[in-house]
Amino acid sequence: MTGHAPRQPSQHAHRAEEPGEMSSATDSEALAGLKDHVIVCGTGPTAQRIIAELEAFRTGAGMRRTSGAIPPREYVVVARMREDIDRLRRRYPHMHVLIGDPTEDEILAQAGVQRAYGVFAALADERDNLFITFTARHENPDVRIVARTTDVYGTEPKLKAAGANAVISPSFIGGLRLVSETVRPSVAAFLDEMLRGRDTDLGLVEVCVQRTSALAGRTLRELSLPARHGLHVVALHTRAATEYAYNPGPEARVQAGDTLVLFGARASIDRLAAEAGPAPQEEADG
Amino acid sequence: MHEPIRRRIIRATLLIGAVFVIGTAGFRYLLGLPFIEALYLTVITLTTVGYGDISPHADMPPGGNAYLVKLFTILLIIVGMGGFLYFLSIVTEYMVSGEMSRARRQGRMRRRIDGLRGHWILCGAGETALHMARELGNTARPFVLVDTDADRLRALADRLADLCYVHGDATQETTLARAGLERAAGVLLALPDDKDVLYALLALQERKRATGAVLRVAARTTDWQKTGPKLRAAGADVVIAPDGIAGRRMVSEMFRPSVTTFLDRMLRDTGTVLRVEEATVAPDSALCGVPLEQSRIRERTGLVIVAVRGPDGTFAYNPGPQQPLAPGDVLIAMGEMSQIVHLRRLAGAA
Repeated sequence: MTGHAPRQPSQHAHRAEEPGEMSSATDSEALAGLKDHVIVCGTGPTAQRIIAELEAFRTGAGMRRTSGAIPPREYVVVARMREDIDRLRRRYPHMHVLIGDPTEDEILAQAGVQRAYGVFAALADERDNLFITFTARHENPDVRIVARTTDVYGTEPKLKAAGANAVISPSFIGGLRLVSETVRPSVAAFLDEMLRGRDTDLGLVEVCVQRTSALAGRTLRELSLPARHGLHVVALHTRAATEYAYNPGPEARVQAGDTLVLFGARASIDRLAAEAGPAPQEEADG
Repeated sequence: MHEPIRRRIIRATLLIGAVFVIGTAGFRYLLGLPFIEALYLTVITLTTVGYGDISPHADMPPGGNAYLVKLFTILLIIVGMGGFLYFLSIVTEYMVSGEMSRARRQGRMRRRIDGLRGHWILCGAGETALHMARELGNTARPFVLVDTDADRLRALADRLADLCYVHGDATQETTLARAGLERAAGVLLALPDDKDVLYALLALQERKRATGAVLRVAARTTDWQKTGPKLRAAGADVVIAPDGIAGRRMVSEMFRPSVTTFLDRMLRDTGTVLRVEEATVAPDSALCGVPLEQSRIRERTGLVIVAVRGPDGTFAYNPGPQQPLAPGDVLIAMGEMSQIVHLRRLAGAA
C-alpha cells in the first residue's frame, strides 16, 4: 500500500463491527495529518496503561524524571471492538481512534504506520503481536516497535526476529518486581532513590570513555576514583567483552570505548564525564 | 481406577504371609516335619526350586495319608504360586512406576519444609509465579510453592531443582500451615483470580491480628486500576499489577531507546550475575558497633556497600569508612550472589 486512504474500508478486516471505521469524520482527517505519532494496538490492561502514560505526556504531567527532551506526541489507538474504544474515549476524549483489526496491513496503513514514530503491539494474543510487529517493520523500516509477550522463552526471540526493538513480558517484569519489593524492600527503596533522584544527589551512571579521554589507557589504581572523586566503579564494560565485569579490581585497565558504571555524587560524575570525553552520558532508567 | 499401590502391596504381603504359614503348618502336621524343615519345604515348593532333598513323597512318614498330602501340595502350589507372582508383580510395578522414589521425595520434601524458617510462601504456579520462583531461587531465598494443580507442581519440580511445594488451596489456612506459615517471613500471592487473592489477604490479616505474627504479604493483581487499591486496603504490603508495569515499561522503551542497558541487565536479566541485595545486621552479629572500614566487608566479601539504611528507614548513601554499624541496620550491597550470601552470614547471628 502506498500513502494512506483513510476513507477506504479494509477488505479483509474482520471481527470489527465496521472495518476501518473512524469514530467520526474529523478523525479521518486527523489521522491523515498525523506524523511522528505513536500507534497503540490493543485496549487491554497493558494498552490502557500505555495510553494513560501517553496522556500524561500530552498534558505535561509526564513520566517522573522525564526531561523536556521528549516532546508530547499524538497517538492513535487501534482496536477491534467499538465498545472498548468508547470506554477509553470517555476518559480520554482527545485521543485518536481507529476501529479495525491491527493485524491487517490496511488498518496499520490507515493508522499511518509509514509516518509513525512508534508502534505498541500490546494485544493479549502473542501471535497477533508477532503479526503486527512483522507488518509494521515491513511497512516502515525506521519505526520503533515495542511488543508485549507473556512467553519470555518462546515468543520473545520470534518478536525480536520479526523486527521488534524491545519486547516486554508482564509476567516476567511483574514477577520480578513483586519479589523484589517483598523480599528486599530496602533495595527497592534505595534503587527508587537512585533512579528517581528525589532526595539525593547520588546516582548510578554509565560513562563511556572516548578516545581522547585522559582516562583511556590507565588502570583503576592509577585513576583512584574513590579517593579523587568519591566514586565507586561498580562495573566495567570493555569493548572486547560482551559482559560487564562487576567490581573490577585495581589492575583493570580502562581503554577508549569502554564503559564505566559509576556510583556516587552526580556532580562528581559530571566532572569525570567531562574528563572521559565529550559524549553525553545517559542515565539508566528504572 | 486402581486403589493406592501402598494398599495393594500390604494385601499381597499379607496373602503371601498367610500362604507360608498354612504351608509350613500343613507340612508339619501331615508329614510330621520339624518347623524349619516344613518352612524349607514350603519355600522350595513355592519358588519351584525343589532341590529334592526333602519332598512330600520321600519324607512321607509311615502310615501317612499320601492322598491327602498330594492334595494339600497341589492346592498350596496353585494358591501359593499365584500369590507369589502377584506379590512380585506389585513390587516390580511399585519400583518401576517411580511411586517409590516419588513417595521418598515427598517424605524428604515434607521434612525440608518442616525445617524451613524465615522462608517465603509463593501461592500460584502460573507464568508470573514461575518467574518469581526463579528469582527467589537465584537469590538464595528458601520458598514453598503452593498450587491446586498437582500435575503442574510435579512438572515444575522437574524444572526447578530442590523445589518445595504443597498441593492445596492457598485460601485455606490448613494449606498454608502445611507450607510452614507460622515460621514464614511472608506470603506472595500470585493466584489467577483476584477474588481469591482478596480472600487470602483477609484471612492472613485476621491471622496476623489474632497471633501477632510478623508477616510480609504481597499480592499480584490483574487489574491495576480497580483491584489494586482494594488489595492494599485488605492488608497487602506490596501490590503489583504486571500489566500496568509492562505498559509503563513499554512507554519507557519507546521514548528512551538510548537509555543505557546496565540497570536493565542488573535488575531484570535472568543470566545476570551482579545484584543489588540487602543484609540486615543481627543484634548479636560480629559487625555490631564496628565502623564500616574495620568490618573489612570489602576485603572479606569483595562487595561495595553503597548504602546503609537505619532501622528508622533513613539512608546513609555511599557510606564513609567511619560509618558505624548497628543492630537493625540494612546493608545495601552490589555484587555477585555468592558474595552476598557471604555478607548475610557476616551480618547474621554470630
